[in-house]
This record gives sequence, structure tokens and C-alpha cells, in this order.
Amino acid sequence: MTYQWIDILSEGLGGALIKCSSCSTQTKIYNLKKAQVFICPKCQKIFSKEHEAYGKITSQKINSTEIILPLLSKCIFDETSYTVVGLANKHEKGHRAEKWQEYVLIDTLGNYAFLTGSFGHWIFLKECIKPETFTDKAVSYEFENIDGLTYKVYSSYYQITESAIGEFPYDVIATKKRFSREYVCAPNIFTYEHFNNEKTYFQGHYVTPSELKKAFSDNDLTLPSREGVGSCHRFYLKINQNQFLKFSLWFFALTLISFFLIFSSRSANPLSTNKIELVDSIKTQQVVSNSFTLYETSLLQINTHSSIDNDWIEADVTLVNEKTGEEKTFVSGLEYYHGYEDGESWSEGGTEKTDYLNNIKPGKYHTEMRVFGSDKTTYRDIQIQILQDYPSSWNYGLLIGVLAVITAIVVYFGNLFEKSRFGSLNDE
Amino acid sequence: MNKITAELANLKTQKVWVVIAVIIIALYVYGELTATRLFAGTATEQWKPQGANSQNSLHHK
Repeated sequence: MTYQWIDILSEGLGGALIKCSSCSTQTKIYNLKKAQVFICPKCQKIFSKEHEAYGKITSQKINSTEIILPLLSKCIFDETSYTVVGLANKHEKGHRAEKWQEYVLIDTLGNYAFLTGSFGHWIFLKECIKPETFTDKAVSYEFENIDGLTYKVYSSYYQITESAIGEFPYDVIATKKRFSREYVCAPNIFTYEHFNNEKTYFQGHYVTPSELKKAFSDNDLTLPSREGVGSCHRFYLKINQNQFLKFSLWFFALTLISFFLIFSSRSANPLSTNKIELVDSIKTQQVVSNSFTLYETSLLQINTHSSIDNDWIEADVTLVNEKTGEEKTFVSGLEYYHGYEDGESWSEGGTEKTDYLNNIKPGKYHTEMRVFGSDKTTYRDIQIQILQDYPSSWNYGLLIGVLAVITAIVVYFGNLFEKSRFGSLNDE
Repeated sequence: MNKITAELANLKTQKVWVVIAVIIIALYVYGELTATRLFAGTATEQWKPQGANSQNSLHHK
């Protein structure tokens, strides 16, 4: 007598209607050709295409509260519509705490995919062909996948199925001998499985809780909160710190070359220079500079230099637009004191100063300067030079500095994140 | 060429970096167009209409 693994009531393009020989529940197997094991969702009786003996055992019952993604619910991943057809609760052999849920998905063409959830971290996986660069003969700790990214080994384990319901394209019962090795390059994951003489390969990616809710938009999902860092959990804001660093270095190199090519010939252009002297009892002097013309919106650099010694001097400088009469006034003061006290020399202030005036519109200008000094009768002078300058160097240095600081922060915290991803493995 | 295409594809996934780069370029262009030293102090007080500063201002000779 030939072994008929399951009672088929009817068969069509969308699958086969079957009847459980134990509880008579009628359910559907979506891909009768590829399904290897079916476990009745009601009575947990196991039906196996290859192992008749499985019919004598029943799977452990799954509590309904454990089911996060209900069977037969619809979802969309990578623009493909899937139906949830199976669920297995598993844990690592020898590590009961390392547990996860595996949901079997099937698309309208009968192709299977898998969604695993562990401590609030979700991964979508599809079977793939063996990448040419991957070797399963020896343990490779990292390899360059066909996507050009380097995947690092994350974990190796045998798995134990605690309970399961629904349809599975592989022997979900005899998983103890199923060896798995995971390689990650967040948010991507590559998994290699070895069972008997059969080797299978899976390519997948991390699914955030919000992406999962979006994929299951027809269901009101209550998802467990995330604990720790998942195997291919991406750093905050989907940042990859290595790529961030690489792009920043490229940006620096390209902009530095462009900057020097375009702006290296630029230099500050002197517009006016005035030297004002205070001698004897004169404490105030007024001077008007020569006129100068700005042909473009400009940055003005004001260099002030004085001969003061243990003294102060101050200049009220007014930039006057000769056409509109608008004035821009600022104070440029200098003070320089020094001495010798308690065996130590000290000094305060200085005899030079540089100020800037931003965003000066084109036009004809002159400056009016009123210089004030102290009551001293010694000779003092102040030299005020006005130059047309460019903000390019300052702005470039500042912005590149900001990018460098941001990059350093991202790389530092990204590496800490990676450490916590692999840290739990190193601790074992 | 494939390497460049792959890098550009990676760039698409690093939107935070792209946003920062765009802000940096925009700030630089703003600085150039307005001749402004970004986030740096300026010696200026404020623009005043003619005569408002007459006590301090001198007549151009």
C-alpha cells in the first residue's frame, strides 16, 4: 500500500484543500508540490511527505497569545504579496534562551519566504543561489557577497523546533541536525544551512517594527518591543558608519581639490590704510579715509594695529555708503598692559586686532574714524587698514570641521553599536 | 563603472549623510553669495540711516 501523506479533498491552482485525519478540520496547503510538512493548526497533528512516522507524534500546542502574525494574514515585502502559512517556535540547540519565531510566507506563485522574529527584531529571508564568492567547505569569517558588501560571520548553531503549525517547505521536525551559519552586513543577512547532504542559502534583510506594521497593513499588530541589538539591526537613522566615513572622506577630497583650483588665486585686496597719531595732550583725533568702490557684495577685513604700551586706545569707525548715506558703525579698541609681579611677568590684551564686516553691498564707500586715547602724554598711534576679503577659507574650514566632527561622532557610536551586536557572541 | 554605480546605490541608503552634505553645500553657497563668514562674530553694530549717527559721524571732506 502506498503512503498517502495527507487527505486531499480538492486541488487547484491556488493550492489544495485538505482534511486532517485526526480532527477532520479542513484547511489549505498553498503549495502541495513543495510542502514537506504540514501541522494541523487545530490539533497539531503532523503530516510529513517523507516520514510516515511523524504521523504518530503531535507538535506541542502553540498558545494563541504567542502568535504575533496570524496564519493566513496577508503582507507585502519587496513589492510582493505574501500569505502567512506556517509558524514555528525555535531555539538554538544548547541555548534555550536564544529563541525565535519563524513565519513561513508564500507568494501567489507558490514561492516561499521566511520572516523571523526574535526579541522584537524581525528579518525577512528568501532562498537564494550560492554566491560564487562564498565557500562552505571551510569556515570563512567574512566574505564579499554579490551585492559588493562584506558580510561578517555572526553565529553558527543547530536549531530545535519547540512547536509549529501550518505548512513548511522543509522538515521542520528534524531540525536538530540542521546546521545554520549567519553572516551579517546590517541591514542585510546571509544564511547558510546544511541538512544531511542538502545545502541551502538565504538572503535577507532587517525589518523595522514600523516596516512590519506597514507590510501587514490589514492587521492591527501588537509587536513586542525590541531588546538589545539584533543580528542585522541597523544603526540609528539607517546610518552605516563605514559608508558615512567613506562618503565624508570622498567629499573632503573632492571639495579640497575644487576649493584650491577655484579659490587659490584669491587674496585680500587693500582698500584704505590710515594712521592716526595722538601726541602730547591730544586725546581725540578725527580722520576720514579715501573713497573706495566695492563692485560686488563683499566681506571687509579691518586690521587694527597700535603702538600702545601699558595703555589703551579706541577707534569709532563708521563705514559710509556715499550714494545712500547709510552708515555702519563699530568700535575697534585695543588695550595692552604688561608687568612683572611676584617674580612672574604678565601681560594682558594686545596691540593688534582683526575684525570683519559681513555682507557689504556694492557701492562707493569711505570710513570716518574718531580715535580716543587715555590721559597719557606719550606718543600713541593706531593704524587701521581696510581690506576686501573673501569668506571662502573660513567657511570651508568651518563646514569641513563640522562634517569631520559629525563623522567622528557617527563612527564612534556606530562602532559601539557594532560592539554590542557582536559583543554578546564574544561573551559566550 | 559597476563600483561607482554600487557606491551611488549606497549613497541612496545613507540619506542622513546626503542631507548633511546638502546643508553644508547650501551654507557654503550662502556664505559666498552674501560674503559672510558663517557663525563668526562681526564687528558691526547696525546699519543706520543717514544722520542717525550724526553725533559721531563726520562730514566727508
